[in-house]
Amino acid sequence: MRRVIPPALERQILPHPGGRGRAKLLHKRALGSYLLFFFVLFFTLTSLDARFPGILGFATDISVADILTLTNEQRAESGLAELTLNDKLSIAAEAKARDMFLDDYWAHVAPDGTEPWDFIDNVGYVYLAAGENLAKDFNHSDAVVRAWMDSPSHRENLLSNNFEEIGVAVVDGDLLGFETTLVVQMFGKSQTSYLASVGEGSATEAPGAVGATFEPAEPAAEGLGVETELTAEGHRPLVQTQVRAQAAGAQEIPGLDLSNFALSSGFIFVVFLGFLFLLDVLVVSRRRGIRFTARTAGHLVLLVFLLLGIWYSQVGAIL
Amino acid sequence: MTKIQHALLYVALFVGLALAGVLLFLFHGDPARQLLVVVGVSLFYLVWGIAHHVLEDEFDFEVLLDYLLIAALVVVVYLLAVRY
Repeated sequence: MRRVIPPALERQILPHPGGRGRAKLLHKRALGSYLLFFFVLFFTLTSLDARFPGILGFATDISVADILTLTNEQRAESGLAELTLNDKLSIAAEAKARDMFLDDYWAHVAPDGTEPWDFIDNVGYVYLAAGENLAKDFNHSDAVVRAWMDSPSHRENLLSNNFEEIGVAVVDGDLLGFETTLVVQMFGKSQTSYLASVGEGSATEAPGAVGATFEPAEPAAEGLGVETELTAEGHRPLVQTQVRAQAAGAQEIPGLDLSNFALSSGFIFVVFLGFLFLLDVLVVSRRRGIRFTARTAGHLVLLVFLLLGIWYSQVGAIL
Repeated sequence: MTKIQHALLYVALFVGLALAGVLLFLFHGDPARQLLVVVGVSLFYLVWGIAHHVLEDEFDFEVLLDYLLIAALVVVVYLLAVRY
């Protein structure tokens, strides 16, 4: 039979007698080298990222404009009116995202009890109805909107006839010890537009000019939405937020996309190692004189688990 | 070790990994806990490997080192891949 693999390469990738039969690239020395390499790579990237955040960084293909467009496309398909981007709601959404990074939480209600509506209140947006959708760990805008559309409660917010305006924030940061991009949608229907539509005067959103008190309903667990009722004459406190209206960090493109680089290196390595172990199992089962080591099959199973774990960790979360 | 014992050991490995998979699913959106699950799986695999080879009466330092290296690689590569 004709030899297709050069002998030198064969010893590297295929099992052989001696050394318990494993390919050289699977020997303990090789495994130790891989471990050392990934240790060094991890700590190098971590220190470089800390020193040169503008060069190495975290980048996603998520933008406020895309989220808005995709949301309105979904609404148009359902025969609903488009949502208008509202600056106040966008500032509220950004304040919510920064609050989550600052207090390190992933929830609609902050650990200190701050509710989504508080962020909306703080920017002086007086609402008759409001809602909030959250997402993190996504890389593309369409994946975010698709995930929301696949969830009944989030879909309800996106396709609600009660909302006329929307605020969107896309913010990068470190959440629970891991770099991520948070996407916050704040939906609303302002009291101003309601009063204008029913012809009850020309109320404005200037501080002190609001003539209604709102009682938010108990929020749902996911894809928070709340409708408010005009119950009595009164004043709603209007405090301008101190949050700066910055451009979303996710749109700053770093010199090297660290997240993709780290993910790709890990993924490729696991596939490479798994391939070698698979070759080992296949060749050993065909050849005589090479001792079969049961742990090779165990290693292979563990590597498949690792591959699935890495893949699943990249699936974004919504709330 | 009998074939049945051998098979049972692999069943234990698959059940352990399946439970870990469920935990990864439950901790979706919480990367810190997911990392803990992966660390737990690596430790479980190390113990499983040692038990396996002790029962087969072929446990030695080389075997231990092999399992240690693979378990450590799993944690480091996972950490690298999901950290950023």
